Amino acid sequence: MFIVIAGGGKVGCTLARGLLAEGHEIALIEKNKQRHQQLSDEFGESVVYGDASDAFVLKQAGANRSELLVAASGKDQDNLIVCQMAKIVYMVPKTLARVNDPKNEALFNMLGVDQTVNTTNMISALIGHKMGTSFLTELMSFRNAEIVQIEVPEGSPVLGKPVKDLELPRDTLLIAAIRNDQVQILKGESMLAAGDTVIAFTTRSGEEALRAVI
Amino acid sequence: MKIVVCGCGQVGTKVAEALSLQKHEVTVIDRDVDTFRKLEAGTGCRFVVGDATDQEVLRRAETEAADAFLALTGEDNANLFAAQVAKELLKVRKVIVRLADPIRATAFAEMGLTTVCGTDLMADLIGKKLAGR
Repeated sequence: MFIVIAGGGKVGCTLARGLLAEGHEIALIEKNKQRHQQLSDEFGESVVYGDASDAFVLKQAGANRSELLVAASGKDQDNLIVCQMAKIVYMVPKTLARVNDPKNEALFNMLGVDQTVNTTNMISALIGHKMGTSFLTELMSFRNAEIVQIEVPEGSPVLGKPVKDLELPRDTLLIAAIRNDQVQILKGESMLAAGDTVIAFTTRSGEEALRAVI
Repeated sequence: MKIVVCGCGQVGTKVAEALSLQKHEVTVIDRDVDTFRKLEAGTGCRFVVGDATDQEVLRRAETEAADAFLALTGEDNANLFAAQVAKELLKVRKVIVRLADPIRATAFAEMGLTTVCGTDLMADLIGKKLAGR
């Protein structure tokens, strides 16, 4: 796939490396001259110098033939406008934006950005998880749905019951459990144990109810 | 009218002063507390210090209750961002965006925003002056 990445900071640059390793074709746009030079040493011709919200720069990066544009800068206003310009001017089929201020996630979705990655929320959730203060961590989010990881606590009401008998919230599916580093796909008859890490698919509204069930 | 003006640079200051003279109730938002000194004393504008791309700052300026919202900072993306928050989220009826980039101005005008492009206006005016009109 040909992917345009706007913003060559640590996030954009690491993403570019990963995508290249997976065999994708990329263009990386960077507006800081010095940073652009550094990136060119590593990525060569794939790096484009300029402001990604400028239509000429997007064109130079090949946005008009790209299948996906990722806005990965640390500034939300730039990420939003880059995605919108890619959609309006070059009809890029799919845009994904990094959201730095959690308050902006709903706004981005409302204004036509196809997917958002809320880095601040993810980091704080992960820190909470590592500190052991939260037992539910969001791993991935889609428009209204998410994949979460939940630790089954001691004395949880789910213990001793098969999965099919649990009163789960609507549109929620328990996918797998990880026990002693072994992954087990959950079926109706599966039983959960305290200390299991459960991977579940749920919705924004289902998340709270899911916390209560497990 | 209740009007919120984002950006207290040369354009923002001039617009805010003119609107206050016309007895409108003006709130000015700017990141830098010092820029407010540029506004003439006695204009009666209300000041809010903060970044106009922060939804919280726009709410603090009571944008929801405003009749008009003018995004006049020198940064195109900040203006487009603040204007869309005002229009789509805070439901302000009249929203005007100042832009330097003509392409961004055309693209977002197509999306229904009212844009004013300084570059286009200036180029047009220079052309007319040159022709002696």
